[in-house]
Amino acid sequence: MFDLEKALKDWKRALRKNKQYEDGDIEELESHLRDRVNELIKDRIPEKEAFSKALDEIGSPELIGDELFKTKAVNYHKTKLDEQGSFILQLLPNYLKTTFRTFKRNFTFSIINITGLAIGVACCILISMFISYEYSFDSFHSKKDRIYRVNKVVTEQTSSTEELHALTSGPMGLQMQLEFPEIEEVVRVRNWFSEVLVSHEEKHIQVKDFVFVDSTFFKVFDFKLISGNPNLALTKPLSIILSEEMSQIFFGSENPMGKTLTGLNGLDYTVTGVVENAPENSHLQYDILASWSSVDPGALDFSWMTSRWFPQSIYTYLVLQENTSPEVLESKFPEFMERNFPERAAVYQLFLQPFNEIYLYSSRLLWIEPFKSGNATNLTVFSLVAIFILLIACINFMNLSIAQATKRAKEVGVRKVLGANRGQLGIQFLGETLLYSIMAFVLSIGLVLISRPFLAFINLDAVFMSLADNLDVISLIFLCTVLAGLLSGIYPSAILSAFKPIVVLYNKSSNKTRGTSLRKVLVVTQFSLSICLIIGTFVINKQLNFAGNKDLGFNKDQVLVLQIGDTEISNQGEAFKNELLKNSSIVSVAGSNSHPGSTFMSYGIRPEGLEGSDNDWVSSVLLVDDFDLLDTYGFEIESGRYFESQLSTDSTQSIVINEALAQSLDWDNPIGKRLDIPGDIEEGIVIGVIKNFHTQSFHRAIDPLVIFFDQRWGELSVKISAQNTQETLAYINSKWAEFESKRPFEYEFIDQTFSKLYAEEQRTRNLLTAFSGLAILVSCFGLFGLSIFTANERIKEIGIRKVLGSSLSSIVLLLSKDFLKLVLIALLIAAPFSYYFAHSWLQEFVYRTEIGVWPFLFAGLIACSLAFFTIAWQSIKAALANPVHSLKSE
Amino acid sequence: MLSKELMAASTRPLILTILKRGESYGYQIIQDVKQLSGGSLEWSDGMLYPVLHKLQKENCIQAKWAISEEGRRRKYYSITDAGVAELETAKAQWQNIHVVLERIWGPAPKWAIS
Repeated sequence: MFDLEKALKDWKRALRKNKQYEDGDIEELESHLRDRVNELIKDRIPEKEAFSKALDEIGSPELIGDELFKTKAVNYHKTKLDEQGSFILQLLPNYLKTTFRTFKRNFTFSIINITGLAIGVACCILISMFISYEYSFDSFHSKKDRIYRVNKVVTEQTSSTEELHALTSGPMGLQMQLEFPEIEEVVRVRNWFSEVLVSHEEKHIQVKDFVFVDSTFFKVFDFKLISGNPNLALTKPLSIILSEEMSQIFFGSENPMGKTLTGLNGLDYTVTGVVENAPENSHLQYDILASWSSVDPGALDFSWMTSRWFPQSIYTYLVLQENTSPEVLESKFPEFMERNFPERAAVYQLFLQPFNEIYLYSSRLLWIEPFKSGNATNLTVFSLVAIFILLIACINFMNLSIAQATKRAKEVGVRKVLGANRGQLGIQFLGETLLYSIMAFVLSIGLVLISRPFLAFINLDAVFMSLADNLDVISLIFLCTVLAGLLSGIYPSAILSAFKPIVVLYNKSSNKTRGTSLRKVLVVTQFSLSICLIIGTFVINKQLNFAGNKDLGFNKDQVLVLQIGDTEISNQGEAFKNELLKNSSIVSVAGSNSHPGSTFMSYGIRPEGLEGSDNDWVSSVLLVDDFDLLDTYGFEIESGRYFESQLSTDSTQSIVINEALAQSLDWDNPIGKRLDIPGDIEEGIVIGVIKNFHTQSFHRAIDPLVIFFDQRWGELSVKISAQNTQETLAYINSKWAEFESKRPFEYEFIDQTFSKLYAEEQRTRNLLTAFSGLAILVSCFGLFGLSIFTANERIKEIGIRKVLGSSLSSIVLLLSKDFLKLVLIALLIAAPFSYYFAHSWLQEFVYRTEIGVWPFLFAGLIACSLAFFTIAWQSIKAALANPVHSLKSE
Repeated sequence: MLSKELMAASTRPLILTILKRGESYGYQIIQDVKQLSGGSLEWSDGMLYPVLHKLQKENCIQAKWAISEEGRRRKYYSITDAGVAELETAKAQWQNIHVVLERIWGPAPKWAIS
């Protein structure tokens, strides 16, 4: 018996197998079928026949299905090109979903990828901020393009090499202005040679930058005078202008104008103005500005500074008229010297240093201690480091993306089969890398903010002051990041979009080898760059250790220096010294005008047999107040003897010279030779030769030196025993307070003084250490990602090897040795480059360490062991896995 | 027997014309077409539905599910404003062709159109 309902049910079930029908379609057809059958039954046709007739009339289910599907599907090949953009927009949610899923599925991979890039970008931002800060120096003066500092090339007979000095004669600037109409303005500047004790009522402050300047200071520079008349404030003797900070310290909110302060040499100075604090990014720094007329007789009585040509103690800045060529003016300087200073015309060759180069390009100049100075070479090094790290991070990004790409072959295959073309796939994958790079950028900004305390630790937080001004730099870096992300995304997306669907869907392993050789090249590049940085760090460290450990020619340990120059103690030097020596922990005390690690004065000397004019020969001098310097510092006598207190001539006639002077004078046996020091010692006799000792950083050769007796009590060097240092210091402090009421007790250990000479190098070392650490970290990130990938790729091989009896160690070795090979190749590539750079960096030092093989060995060892540990984690995991799991699926 | 292309082209104005008279459903539309064409337009009944769906997608007609007198669910179609406009265009085009062909061949025999 025919059952219509059953027949309909079967028919519907058959239709549902055809995927082109939706439920609604089937129901609509069913309704049609029932209508037709009902009508046929009304015409007395049996149910069974009616059903088959109705079915027949309805037509082929396949054809109908095809037509129905056509009405649903959009045929994209027929959409116009200009509509494809909106088509990508329609797919955007799907792309985002895919990106998010890939991110989640490959969480470690993705995090490594983004963090690596973020670290690279953060380094880049920090370095850019640093560089832009360094270049911002002195840029706030409106006349900066017309300001020049007068420097000179010095070619002394006593030294074979040329030196560049920033100092000029006192009268030089004003004389130039008289003679050359192209000079608009002149300002003479001199930061006082040491800190100056300034007092007001009960307040006593050691002022670091007590600076003598002309009243033209405010015409030349744009430092803003808050109160006072810029033209008159610095004309009268003993007039001073306070910085805001100083005004705040001494007078709080009171108006300081017209008040008096006790300053240099115990004189009273009148406040005639208040000036804004010098900006951080100014090479000229000041706390107090004082008038030059203050040095005239009747006041400080240092008029030799401004009136005599011989002393070289003043910095001269010129403003040239508009459209004046500095070269033309420079060409007139030799004649100017002949006219005004013929004695030194042959030795001093004046030149003009553009104002905007003073901060960064003064590393070869001597006598620039009062000023802040940077180093353009270091900036180049840091820019390179920044580029290196960004490059490494980008390579990581690329490498990991390529490795990941093969995992997504199926997705590409399916998308292609569904009609995606190469362009669309390319855009999809580029979009993903873009998204990743934006995430990395956001993360890197966070890292930069976190790094602030660390920067403060190495005295670099000043760069953050300019963070707000750096928005252009940061947006530039944002663009760079995006660009880097896109560039590193191009290759993987090109590879991905080129997959042939038939290949990737049919045989999943056929794409394994794609990109492996490129990946290897990239890993080698990464590690080469990192190894270069590590070697650089090691070489700098080695030089600094060399400087720290090399015999300086004296014993710098446990010696401290007290500045007594303008204290009450200088009037009772002998008594104070004897008080100190009563303490058994104080080994010895010596008075002198200077000490190793500080700058020595230079005097003209007149050696026997070489008498010329007064100043033909120049030598550093060390003036001693007593004869104890030898014991305090442990200097050694080469020949002859040191001063002896019993011999009265030793404090009038005797002179001790160093080996360098004997050598430059060509004296084989200097003992007994005549040596006059015009103005100080007539008919001097050399009684001994002291072994060379370093007074400056290893950048400078040891200067010729004369030592003679001239009691001035400028400073005391105190040698204390290594035990009870704190008690000894407390004892000195108490004695200091007995002798000197105003000035607080301050001291400096000589070894600290010396390490300060390498502050710039130490800063470079610290930064380079940090950055090379980060570089290797980022490189290892990449390696880690790759090792996960390789281990996964070779999981079957590992399984088979294990089944056949491989040991854990042989599998770890198998997986690691390929990578280690790459690191070794990187070492071979990095070695010559870094040797070259390290070698040229060391040339800046007169006394330098050998590079040797150790930096290379260490760098190689570090790179290899880090690489090995990075890989080993994955390799061991892979090697420990049960082969059953990896092998059962086939 | 009409060619497939001509069938496809002519079905749309036919359906629209029928729906312009009032709401209808698939089976009824087929019956109307058969009646109107006097049997000269022969097609399998099922092929109507893809055309209806296409028209619906193009917004020329709209559809709703409703319960029929027999108590079954049935999909009813009605024409939209866009459908009316579409029909007017089609009408003008068919009449143009008709005029051109008539000018060449002379008037068609009366029985062909009822």
